Amino acid sequence: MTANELRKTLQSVKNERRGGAPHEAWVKQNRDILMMQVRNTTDLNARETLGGYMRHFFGIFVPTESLALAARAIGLFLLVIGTVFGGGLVSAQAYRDAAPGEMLYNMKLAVEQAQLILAPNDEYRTRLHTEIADHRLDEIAKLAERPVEDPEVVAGVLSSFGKEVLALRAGLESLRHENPAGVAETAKLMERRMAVYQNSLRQAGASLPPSLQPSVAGARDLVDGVTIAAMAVIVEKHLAGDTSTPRTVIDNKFEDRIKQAEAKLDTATKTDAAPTVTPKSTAAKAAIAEARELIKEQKYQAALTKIAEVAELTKEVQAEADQAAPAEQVPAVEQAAPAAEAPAAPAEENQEETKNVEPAPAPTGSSEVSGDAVGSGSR
Amino acid sequence: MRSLLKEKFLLFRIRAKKDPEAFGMVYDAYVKQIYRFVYFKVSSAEQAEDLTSETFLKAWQYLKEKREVPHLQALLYSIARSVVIDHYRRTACERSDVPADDERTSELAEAGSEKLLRDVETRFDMTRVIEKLRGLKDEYRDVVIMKYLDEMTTSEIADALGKSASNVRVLLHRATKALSDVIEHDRERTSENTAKRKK
Repeated sequence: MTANELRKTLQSVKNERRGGAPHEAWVKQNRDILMMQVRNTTDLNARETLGGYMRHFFGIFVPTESLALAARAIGLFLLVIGTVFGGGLVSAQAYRDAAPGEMLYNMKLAVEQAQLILAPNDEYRTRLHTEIADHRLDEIAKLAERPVEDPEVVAGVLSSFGKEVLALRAGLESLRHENPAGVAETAKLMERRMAVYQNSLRQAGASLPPSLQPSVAGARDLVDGVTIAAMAVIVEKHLAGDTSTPRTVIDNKFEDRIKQAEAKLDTATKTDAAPTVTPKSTAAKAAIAEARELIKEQKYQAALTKIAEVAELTKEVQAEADQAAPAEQVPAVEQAAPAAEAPAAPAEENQEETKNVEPAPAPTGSSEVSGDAVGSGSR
Repeated sequence: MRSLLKEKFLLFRIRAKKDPEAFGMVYDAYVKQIYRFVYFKVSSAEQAEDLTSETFLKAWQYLKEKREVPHLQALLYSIARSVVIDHYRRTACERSDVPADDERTSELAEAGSEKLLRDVETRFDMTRVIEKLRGLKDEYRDVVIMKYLDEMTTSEIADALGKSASNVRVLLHRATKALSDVIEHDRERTSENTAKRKK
């Protein structure tokens, strides 16, 4: 039977019962019953407001989500314009400099969100996330400079910073699919920026009270995650034959990364006096040694997996150490002498200081610097 | 209902004015399609009637809650589908590929006689097509019913089934072929049986 014959046969029965046509009597009777049920379940006297009418009218032709998005963008735009023209340029500057906990700080956040919403593409949005992360880090540093009055405010800023870092990671992933040619450059810049973030967080963390240390550690772990993701992209491109990332660069980056991991592990294992050896710290050290071997053999993917494993193990070692000595933390002392606390991690500090120098080659005018698509350069 | 603009205005009347008459018009426009859609998924006309009623009542409740409705026809098919699933969950029985409807059984019995088989060959062909249509897998059956019985366009079917237009075209091609094959096979088997009986 051909398709045409089939169609003819089906169409010849479409008005018959066996073809799925309902009884006309049932259709009419059911309509009456349905209308009765509809009237019974509806308050016909309830009047919709004018706003409701408008919303329904436009909502039917334009999806409500788009309407809400447009209304939000317009609202924020008006808010910003109102602030600038209502209070003059002084107020615009005031909200830009507003610190967490201040009245105009929410305005600052709103403007940042508006910028993100109105970002024309993923690359621009990623750049904005970097700038916003920079702002959060500045705020954390400023908050750490003075005694913490409200730890929740600092924790909030750290959490916002973490969100921006996660957004950066998502942005990198998105660029990886959408712009495979340019992602390596972005990954390199992001990897350097993460080193700067690590350093800033470590310095700020040294001045913050113990109650905030888990938040700082969480933020540093997120930064670690982005570093590893960025390195994965760099390695992938290198293995794919990208000449802009030679072997020496990869080796140096891995070496930096391993030194950083070692320093972090040292800090995690060191208690007041002597280093603590646990099965996990031993495993982490073994993983570091394995990673080194893999790098020598140029098995970069496997080395990266090992480094991720080390990061996880270090996190667990840190958690064990935190559990082991909770009573030793005395906030008042910690707050009073923030700079003096640093000796606990001299190795890490040294490593990070050297790492912090790495982004400096800006004046050389290399291509990596000119293509700074990620950083605002404010740091 | 072919006019999208008309459908949008009916939606506006239902959601903003809570106008039962507007819903009545929606019912008039879609009741036959929805009934047919349900009819081929259940084992009797009575069940199809009940489930169709339930579908429209649920659609009214959905619209009354002012939730997003990008496409009314797609909404009705989606509700009908979940109503049928709920029905099978409730009754905890599987769909019977061979209908138990009296009307259809009598048709088969009628066609069982050899003499009548010759006399009403065309009629039997129709019955066979319908029966085999019921035996098709769900997505094939839905697409054949929508295209050939309800005469919906490919894009309308795509909206109703939540698939792309190209996907619907492929499905329709496969479904038509599957239906033709199974009918041919059945026809051959019937002729063989008739020949055996003659011998």
